[in-house]
Amino acid sequence: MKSRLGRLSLCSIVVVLTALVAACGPAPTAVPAPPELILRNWEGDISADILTAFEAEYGIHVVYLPYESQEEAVAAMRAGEVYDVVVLENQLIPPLVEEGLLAEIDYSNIPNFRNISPNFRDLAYDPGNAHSIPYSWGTTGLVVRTDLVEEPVTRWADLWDPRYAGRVMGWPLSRYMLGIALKSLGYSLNSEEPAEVEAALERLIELKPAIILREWEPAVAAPYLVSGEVVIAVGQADDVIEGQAQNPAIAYVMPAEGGILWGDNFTIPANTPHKREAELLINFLLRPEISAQIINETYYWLPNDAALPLVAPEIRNNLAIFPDAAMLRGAEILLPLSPAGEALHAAAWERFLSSGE
Amino acid sequence: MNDLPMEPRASLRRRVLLALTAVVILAILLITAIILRFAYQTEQDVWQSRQREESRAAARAVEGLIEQVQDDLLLIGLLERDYLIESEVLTRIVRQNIALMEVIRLDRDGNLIVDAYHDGEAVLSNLFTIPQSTWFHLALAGQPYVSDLQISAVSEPYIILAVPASDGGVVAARLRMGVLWEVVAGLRVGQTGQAYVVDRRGYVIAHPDREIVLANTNIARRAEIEAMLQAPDNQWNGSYRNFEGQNVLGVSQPIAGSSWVMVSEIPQREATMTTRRALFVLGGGMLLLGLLAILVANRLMVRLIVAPLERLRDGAERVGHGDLDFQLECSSSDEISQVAAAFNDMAVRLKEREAALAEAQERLRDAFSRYVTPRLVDQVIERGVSLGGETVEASVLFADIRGFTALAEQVSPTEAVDLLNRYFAAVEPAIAAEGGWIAGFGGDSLLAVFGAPILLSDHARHAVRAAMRIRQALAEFNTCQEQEGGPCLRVGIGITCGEMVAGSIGTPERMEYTVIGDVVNTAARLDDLNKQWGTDILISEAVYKAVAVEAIAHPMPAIDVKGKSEPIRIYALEDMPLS
Repeated sequence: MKSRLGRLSLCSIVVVLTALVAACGPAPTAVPAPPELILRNWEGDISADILTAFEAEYGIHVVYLPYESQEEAVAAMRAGEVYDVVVLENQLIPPLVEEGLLAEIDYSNIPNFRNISPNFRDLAYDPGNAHSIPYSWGTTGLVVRTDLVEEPVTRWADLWDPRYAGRVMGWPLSRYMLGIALKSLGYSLNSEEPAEVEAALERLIELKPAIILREWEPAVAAPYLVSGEVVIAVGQADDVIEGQAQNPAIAYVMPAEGGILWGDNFTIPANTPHKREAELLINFLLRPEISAQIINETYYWLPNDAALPLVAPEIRNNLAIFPDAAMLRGAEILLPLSPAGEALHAAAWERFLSSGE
Repeated sequence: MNDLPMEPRASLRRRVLLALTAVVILAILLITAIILRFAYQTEQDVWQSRQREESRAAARAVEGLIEQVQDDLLLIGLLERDYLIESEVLTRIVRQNIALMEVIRLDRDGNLIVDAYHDGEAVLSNLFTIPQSTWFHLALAGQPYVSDLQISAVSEPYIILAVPASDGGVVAARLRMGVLWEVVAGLRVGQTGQAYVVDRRGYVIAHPDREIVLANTNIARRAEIEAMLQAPDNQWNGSYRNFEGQNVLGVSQPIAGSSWVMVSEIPQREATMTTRRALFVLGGGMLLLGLLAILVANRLMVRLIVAPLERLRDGAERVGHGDLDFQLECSSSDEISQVAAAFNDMAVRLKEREAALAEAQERLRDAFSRYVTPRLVDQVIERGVSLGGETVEASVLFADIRGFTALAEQVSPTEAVDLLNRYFAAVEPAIAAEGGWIAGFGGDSLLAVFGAPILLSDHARHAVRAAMRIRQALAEFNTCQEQEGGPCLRVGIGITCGEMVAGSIGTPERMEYTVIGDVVNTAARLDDLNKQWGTDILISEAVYKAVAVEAIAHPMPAIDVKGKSEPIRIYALEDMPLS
């Protein structure tokens, strides 16, 4: 799950303006038009001047087409829409590979893959990075009002602490809430074991009266934490940054059972007519200075080792954005479930929602 | 013959040599092609098996390196975790093996139990994504794992090897790719060949030129690589133009324990060196041999055919020029000598024929001379004359003996013939001396012609001079007659000149060359007039005009003649000096 920081809407306005200016420009001449790339991503994730720089260097215009959700982009791909680069979360990739909707990436066009941290290479959702290249990563942990808890919060299990009943917060998202319950029991986030899922469900039902569930949106927990209505919230870097700005007592805690890792990746749809150009664009975005610019503008964790020296120190040293190795030990990547696992989780979530009514 | 003609364009020698050269060149090409094809096939076969061995050895070298690391990892996986932590055996293993950058042992949840690494090379130890890594998943499932080549901005290129540990965990290591590259770069393929390693996706992961690897070069789309990756057991061979643009003979071999393929390539230049050398030596040798054969054939042809033919030609020319005694040398019994012998035979026969011809001509001359003067015969034989009918401008002299009929009655026939023959013998030289000849005898008369068949420019003058000589000869003849008591003869002569018809007249069995026409008749008429006027030589006006300068003659009455509208004037000849 990825947040979008408010400041980025400014960037999106710039992008739209740029596109408008381009559209009102002189009519194209007889010279064969250079290919135009369509990049689908969260709104405002990549600033217009980066894409302008790419166009200045390669003569390839990039149309930045933001999506409301990745599921929307995937549905469009399945419907045959043609895009050139689509940013997709880890768990969306295996089914699309299976369906043959993603092109195999030619790394001879992407030498900058060498900048990608070993942590994010060759992971189980895409062996050998055959169809995806890590773009941005993040963690989900606990955001805590350190001044309002009676002892340091260190674990997912602390959500169940009766002392904080009614003052904990989460999102009504099955993978996350079941996942947290699984983790609190020492199981895998991606467990498909019926017994484990059952145990997690029971634990979750136990928590239901004590937890406030709010639909996810960027920094949704921050105001609750600032007001003190909530003392422990399931949250991400944006909640931390937003909250800390108003109350320095707000802190980010990576639970000892292991945090939840999410990641977005560059993918190239199999139906693109401009695969090579798409690869050139990805290679451009993986340049250390370009990746560093994205990090500095968006506060995202890009797994680009070569970019780190170019990142602003206050961002680089913010553990909410760049967690250290100790924090990440035991962290798990949210992976796609098998159809059976999917059904198991869905059934459990249904029972959770209907419990206590 | 000194003036040898230039060799003709269509020279026999040239044509034979051309044909021979063509045959020799064709033969050389054919033989060279056959031998080269054989040599090429053999060489390619030899290279193929040699290369297969070399690439097998190369694959084994890489396999050995991976196997050795995997064995180390398996051993580590067998050791008790407490022993591992206490003994520092892991550190020793890493320190002793420069190829190992880092080794870690993990429990079944991906938690680090123990690690060892060269300074500053801890990567696996710091990974927080181990439980989600492909290598951990596969090794956990009991499958040894060899990763793709990892090129990194913060580390030397490496690959990750992982094996299951005995306690259900995993042992993993990073293998320094540089070591493998050195192994590959050190592989010898022929003299100038090279070996490189391609992974299952077509990326070049080890190559003597590291830049090719570092550029993530992918050659999966190349036909030969596709064939290698798809071939059963990755074993394939063939000749092709490789991704570096070189024409090569390539062999692929699987690298056991990985999904890699060892490709070894040898440049066609080297793979065909023996064939090319053979082409050089064989082609050169055959060419020299062919040249020699042509030279020898040329020499032989000149000696055996051309030179004898030239001698034959020279001989023919000499014989043609009349040297019938010339004989060609014919020492051997070949065809040319047979021709020469036939030629010599021909020359001998020609000579015989010529001698026979000369003899016949002599006999002819001899026979003919009895009827016409030898000079006339000579002239006719030499120049040739038309003996058919033709109109000629000539003079005729008609002479007869006065009163011979009465005289003949007084003597015996023998004496009469004898007298006539002696008379004719006496006057004939007078006629011949002036270029005339006796065209016919008629009893005691004779007809002599001047200017036909052989042209005589002043035939009328010669005729008159002949008449004067006859007068002289007759005087001498009569002197003799008087001395011997024989009768004396008086002769009348008529001379005319003009156009007349000359030709051979008679039957096929007996022909006589003579002249006919009014001019001839007039001469006889003038001769007859001598009796009437008591003269001995009468000449027509035309004849007189021809000798008017030197002759003494007086005119006589004009007479009518047949064929003339007007009477013709005639002259009696008194005298004309002969000197």
